[in-house]
Amino acid sequence: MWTVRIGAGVLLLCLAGCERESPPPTQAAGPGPEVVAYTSLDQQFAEPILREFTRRTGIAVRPAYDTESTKTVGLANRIRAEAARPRCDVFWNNEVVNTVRLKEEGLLQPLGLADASHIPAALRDPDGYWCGFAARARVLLVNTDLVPADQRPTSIRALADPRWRGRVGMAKPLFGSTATHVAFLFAKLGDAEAAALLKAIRANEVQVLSGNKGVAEAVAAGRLAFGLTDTDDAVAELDAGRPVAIIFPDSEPDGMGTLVFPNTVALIKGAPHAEAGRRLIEYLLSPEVEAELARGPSAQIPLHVNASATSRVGRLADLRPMVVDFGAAAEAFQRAARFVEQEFLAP
Amino acid sequence: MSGRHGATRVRLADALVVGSHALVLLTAAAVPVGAVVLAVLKGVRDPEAASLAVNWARWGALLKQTGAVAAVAVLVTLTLATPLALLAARTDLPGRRLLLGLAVLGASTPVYIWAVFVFALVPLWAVNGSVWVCGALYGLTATPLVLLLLARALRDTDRALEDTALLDATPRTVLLRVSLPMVRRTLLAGTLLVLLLVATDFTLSDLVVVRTFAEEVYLAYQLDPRRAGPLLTALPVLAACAGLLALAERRWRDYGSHEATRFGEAPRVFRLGRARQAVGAACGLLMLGALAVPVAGLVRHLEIGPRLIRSLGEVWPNARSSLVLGAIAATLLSLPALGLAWQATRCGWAPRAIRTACVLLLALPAPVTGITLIELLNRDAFAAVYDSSAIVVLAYVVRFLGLAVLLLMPALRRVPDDLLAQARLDGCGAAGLWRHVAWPAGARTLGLVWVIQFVLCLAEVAASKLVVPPAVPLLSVRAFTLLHFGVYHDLAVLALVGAGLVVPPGLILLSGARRPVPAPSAESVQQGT
Repeated sequence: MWTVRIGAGVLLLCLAGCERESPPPTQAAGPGPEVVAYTSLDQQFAEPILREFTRRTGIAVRPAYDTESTKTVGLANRIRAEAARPRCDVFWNNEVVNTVRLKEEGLLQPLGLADASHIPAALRDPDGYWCGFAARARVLLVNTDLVPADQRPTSIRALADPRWRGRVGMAKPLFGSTATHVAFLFAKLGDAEAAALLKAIRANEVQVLSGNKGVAEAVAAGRLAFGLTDTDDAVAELDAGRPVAIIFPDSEPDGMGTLVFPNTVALIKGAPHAEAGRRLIEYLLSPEVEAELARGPSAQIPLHVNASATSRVGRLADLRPMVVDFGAAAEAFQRAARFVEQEFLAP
Repeated sequence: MSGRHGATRVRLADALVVGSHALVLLTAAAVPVGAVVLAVLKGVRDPEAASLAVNWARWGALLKQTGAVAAVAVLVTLTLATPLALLAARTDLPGRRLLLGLAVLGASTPVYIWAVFVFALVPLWAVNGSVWVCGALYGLTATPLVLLLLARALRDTDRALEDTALLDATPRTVLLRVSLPMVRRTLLAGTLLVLLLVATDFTLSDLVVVRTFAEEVYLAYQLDPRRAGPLLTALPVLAACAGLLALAERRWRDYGSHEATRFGEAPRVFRLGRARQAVGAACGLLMLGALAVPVAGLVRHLEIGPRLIRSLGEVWPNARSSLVLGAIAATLLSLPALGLAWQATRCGWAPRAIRTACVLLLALPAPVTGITLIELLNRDAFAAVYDSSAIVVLAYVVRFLGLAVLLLMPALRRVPDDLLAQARLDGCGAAGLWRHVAWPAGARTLGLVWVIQFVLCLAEVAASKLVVPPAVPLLSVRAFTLLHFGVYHDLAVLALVGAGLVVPPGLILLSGARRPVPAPSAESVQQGT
């Protein structure tokens, strides 16, 4: 009898605990429509937006977030691994290259937006498989106590300048926006020149940290003279009153331009909740989400043609963005990653 | 007629017990075997990835990094744990019970909470890439557990031998030259434990950006899960850990047997004499530091007020999921573990197979567990498991079943042979032996093992990070994610909640460890029948 009691107890525990999904923080009470969103935007920034969507529509969002050290690539690979039996509906990527790669691999379906003209044509897929919104830029964050104004770097090539040997930093270029940046460099400069630049940066004893946030903090604390990071991490140090300055690199007329890259949103092919997914996508592409991202701590740059909000880091029109075809960058991504893995980060 | 029915019932019960144990074991053992098979199959299909992964230079570099981290970790653990265990277990040190109590709490504290404690004081970027720091942190997290193991072993040393040695030598010499060498097997076990932690976990190496084997497997999988690289990279570490564990299991097979262990004999207490107050004060300071420094570090990052209340509410879903899933996994683990441990203490091919499977499960790097579960279960037939939190429970079971069996084996080895013979004469089959002998002999240890498994499940990051489905908010995964941004208010709240969650299990373990485990007797068996 005791075995039956124990067995029944275990069964009850299992039934109670292993329900198909636990109620997530963004879910409305009670059963109803739902959407599964994989998002590589930091959880603290994405969660309030998803929660607001649920509040407005009653559609529960089941989110999966990424870890900083394997940002974006981890989620994109999860979508690939689940290609035969997708469970993700919406991929909210905080960069562009991995979304384009998923499209090239046939893992997305058209968004079916009624009107996407409010997003600049260069920042959305011509075939309608993905759409960009709210951009960030790759910047050099400089410690103003350590680097005098007349010596401040103006190009990412300064990471290879022997003057700053061992005092410059960047995030692990296998994941996240740093991997995206390397892919863009391979596409823009060509494999040989980009690889030579990365080799020179490595030879200059660059500090490779686990994420862009760490780079920004190390610069702000004076551990590094300057580092390559994202605007959202850079602006957090600026907002905290640290002695730092943001430099948009390679903005001079003959420079290659600053990498400005949008968030992208896409609908997964075979998405189990495609209709709810489309509603989430429409919400994410609305001017108010961009405004919230611009005003919020990540200070993202609005791309909507009617955007009323401005970011603390500036407007898109004030920047000199790097001109590279997203498809070419996506095509270079794997080659760049292989180079980084086997040469730049070789143990 | 009734006798025939009775015999059928016994045979049916036997078949049920043996069958259920075999099922659990086969399910769990499918993962290490599946990992090796998948690695080979993927390697054959993807020769380019295989040639990149099966690369002696790369393996050598990874071995060097992993070895360096492990060496530092072992050094830190043994340097801290050995003198503290000697003081706590064998001297009249004031506050030694408190020291052991803190060690129990420390051993119950997950690695990620240790990491929060440390990184609340030292920013992540300041220790970036440091093998020394990574090793020291792993060593620090393992110290309380090794301290407890050593303290337990030091209380079981041969008192007669010590008494004889005391006739010719000073107490200090006896303690260091006689008592300590008697626990060398436990010292080796502690070393092995630290090695396993470093070889199979990536929580700290990922944060500090040190490329150990486990970290490399995790990164390679995140880079491209379809290729052979991640699993092939893991093979050397799987083989090395399995070899070491098999060796250890063979050497320590008799540990806990009724011939090898004495009960009820109080250990000799060595008096510290004039140094007692000074050593007591030093240990007191150490304990105070161990408690106050992490708490102060966290409080520094906390925003007291409404935001704290709101944050506590936000952490609650994570805590609830972790508690429920941890409790389910610990329950699903512990019951079959008792049966498997019971079988594993016998002789023959089946017990050997169980012990081998346990060793393989224990040696499996955590990310490989996650990867293999995804590979095996990400298909329509297993959708109910893959898409639900059941996959997290399964990952916990696979990760800790081997450990549960190995922890239960010593308790079951203490069952005297004549007791078994008597039970068999009374007509007990496999089910009867399990119910009337194994259960009474192992029930209390089973309770402690349940608590240990529960704590381990709360702490697990490296496999659950990969398998956790959307919207299953785990405390461990959330903490691991937040740790990459440094310690801020949200993470400080989460760490305080996590540390609070392990206090009750810690107290249970503490009270359980204090009471001596009685050896099973014929009376207990007769009462059972």
